[in-house]
Amino acid sequence: MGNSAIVYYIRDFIGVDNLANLLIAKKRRKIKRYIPIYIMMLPGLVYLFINNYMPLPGLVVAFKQYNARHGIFGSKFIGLKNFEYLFKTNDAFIITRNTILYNLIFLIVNTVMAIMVAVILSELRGKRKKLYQSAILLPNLISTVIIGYLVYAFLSVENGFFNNTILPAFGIDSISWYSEAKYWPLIIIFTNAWRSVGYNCIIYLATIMGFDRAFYESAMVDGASRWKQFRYITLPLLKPTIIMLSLMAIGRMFYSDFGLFFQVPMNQGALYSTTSTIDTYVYRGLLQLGNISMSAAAGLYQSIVGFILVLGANLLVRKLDKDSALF
Amino acid sequence: MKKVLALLLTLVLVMSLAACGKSDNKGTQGTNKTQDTGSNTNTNKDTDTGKDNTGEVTKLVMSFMTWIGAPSDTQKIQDAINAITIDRYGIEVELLISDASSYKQNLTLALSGGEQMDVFSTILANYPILAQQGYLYDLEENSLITQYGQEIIDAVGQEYIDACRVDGVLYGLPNNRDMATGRGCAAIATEYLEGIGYPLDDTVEIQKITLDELNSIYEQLHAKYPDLEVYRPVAMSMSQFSNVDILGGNAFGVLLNYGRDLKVENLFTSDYYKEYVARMYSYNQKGYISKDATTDTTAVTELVKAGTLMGYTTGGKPGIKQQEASLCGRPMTIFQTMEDYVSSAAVAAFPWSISYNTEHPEKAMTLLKAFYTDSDIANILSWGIEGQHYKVKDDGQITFADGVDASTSGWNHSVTWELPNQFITHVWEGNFPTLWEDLRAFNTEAQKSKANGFTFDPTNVATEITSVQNVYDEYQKSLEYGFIDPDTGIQEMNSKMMDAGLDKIIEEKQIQLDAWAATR
Repeated sequence: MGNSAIVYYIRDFIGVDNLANLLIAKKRRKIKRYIPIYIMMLPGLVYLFINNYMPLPGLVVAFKQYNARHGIFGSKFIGLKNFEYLFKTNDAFIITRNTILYNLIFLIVNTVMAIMVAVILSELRGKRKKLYQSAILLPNLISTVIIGYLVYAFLSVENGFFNNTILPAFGIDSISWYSEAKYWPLIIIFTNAWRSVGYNCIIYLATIMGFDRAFYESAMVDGASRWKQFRYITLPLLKPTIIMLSLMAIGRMFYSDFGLFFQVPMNQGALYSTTSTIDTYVYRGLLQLGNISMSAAAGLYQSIVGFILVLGANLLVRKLDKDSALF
Repeated sequence: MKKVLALLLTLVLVMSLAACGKSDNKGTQGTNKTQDTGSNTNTNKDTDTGKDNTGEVTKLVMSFMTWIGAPSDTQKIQDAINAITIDRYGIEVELLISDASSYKQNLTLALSGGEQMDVFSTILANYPILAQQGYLYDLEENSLITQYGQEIIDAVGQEYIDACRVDGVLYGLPNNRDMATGRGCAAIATEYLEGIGYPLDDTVEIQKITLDELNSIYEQLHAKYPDLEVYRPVAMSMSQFSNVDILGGNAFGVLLNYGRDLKVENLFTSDYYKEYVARMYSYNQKGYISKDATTDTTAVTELVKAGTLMGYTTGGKPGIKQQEASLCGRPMTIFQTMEDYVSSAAVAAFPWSISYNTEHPEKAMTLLKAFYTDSDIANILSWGIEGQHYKVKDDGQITFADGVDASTSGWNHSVTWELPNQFITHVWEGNFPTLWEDLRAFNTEAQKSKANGFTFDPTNVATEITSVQNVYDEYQKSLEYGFIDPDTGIQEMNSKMMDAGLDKIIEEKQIQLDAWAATR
């Protein structure tokens, strides 16, 4: 992420044309100089090839009626039949809606929260900062299963903290949280923000710490308030980072955090209308049938739509701000 | 100088990574033992006919599940079994035991990943589907079973063997256990029944009562112990407390009325289902069921053990009283409101199978035969090592060995019913000494589904089953645990299921059932 920022600076200093010439001239020498680095890259590339590219032909199983005896390539070809179940009922609409809407809201809420926390943390110094940062990061290290039970400790009907302590204090009747779907969008968004803000703010914090303090000093001399410093210095400088992180999130727009949507609502049927996402739907369906072809079909569908979303988002960014685009 | 150093460093890195990969490979090969056992195949094939032991030792992997995973003394048990099987059958066994929640996954992964897995129980893994997806060995190929396992047929009976056929092909062997289930059984901790002064009959294992009597027991229990949970439903409760034959592994299209007619019907519009859901709703309204019932996944027996729950639904059989009492850690009383029944899927629920890619089908069959007929190794697998895990009492029944109890024993899995043949093993104390004969009689005397032995091939309606299952998941607990009004709830679920293709599943089941009946 630092790269685009650096290019930005260099371009401003020496001009675009000079930069291009300079780059070509340096290219040759660079390749030679970087040979050890290329060699260092090799194991990673080999791993990437073995792990991510070699299994690709296996995707064909999504179009087959898999039979272990005949193997992936020998099984009967049945076209798009494995994809049918995804679009069979209006479940397809609900799960697609849930997946995309949740991810959109996560994207907005998490980005705002992460920048907020990063700015606040960047103002702190010394031991306190480390303490706060660790405390905020902690939820991210907790397994989702345990998070599910932490939420349960708050929301359990008979013994939960909410129903026994908080609601009576306001004179509200107890609520059976796990059978009322309408509360869950809020619970899920809150849980997700609580859990991921610590991790998300790390990159923003690192970027902010890298800013030249001279900007802020001169702004202060000019009498800019904290808000104005944030609005006119921090935010514009953060823009490339925000765009890149958002792009990456958009690429995963069609995926959902399985644990968050499966473990935290405790897989309660009554909550499916607001907690079911593509991943949990497919998992539940295939738990019953154990059909490899149908899970492959679902995975392929997610990947293709995710791929289109990345390309589309990148196209959009390139139109708006060419330098921030990934490719 | 720096460059050279960097180059050297990267080289070392690459080399060490490569070395890592290599040693990894070795590790997996070591456990799989595909290479060194491969050479044995040929020599065995020719000589392995009548005599079991040819002097060569074949290594086989055998897998099954227990509720808690591999008990701590698994290695000891494996050694004790091998001490017998190497000598008698020329087979060395490796036991691969998983816990219930991961067994299916481990099994499917091993099978689809081509790992060695010769003999296994198909429990929880959906036997007909495994067969239809090609993971199981055809046990009649080259007359494998008659040549190497005739004694198995003698031990379980041809009728049960035939019930395990999938599309006419035999892929699994049924084990000897309770095939029938006492429907409509309730287990209630005895101390609470004594508390309300209920007359208990000690001469029978299962007390037969009517549903109204059971309801009145619950009412009295609730009045006397208002702070305790009276009854806790679980996912299986509905089918256990019904006359419904769950046909072909799912509740979408069932036989009603103990499967007396081969007519596939929609369970969810039946009067039975309405009554059941309404009863649960009234239980819930009266406060018998915990409000956390849908989210709490603690086993009901654990809740009884903890003293917060009084009763739950179970499946009746000879030996049930002792089994539930040992699970709950306190004396239990079993009531039955319905009849004993062998459902269509009971016999072929979890047969023992051989993997499609085993290199030693003959040896695998021989090993199965050994566990079906050789009480020495069957006892070790069921109860452990005499003197270490159990001891034989004067009356011939067994109990924990001296200095060992349920929690300290290293081999106390309580899944003897899953193993090939429990009828040739010892009887645990607290049961009638005639337990195994009682079980045989129980199986033969219970009424049987007309569709006994029918297996359903879901290939044509896989899409619909997935969709309908999702609808059922959405409503099952709310309805069957009595949390939503049955009138609106059932209707809502039904219309959603119809949209998802329930009709098509029922139709397909009827077609396959008719075709199956025509061949009988």
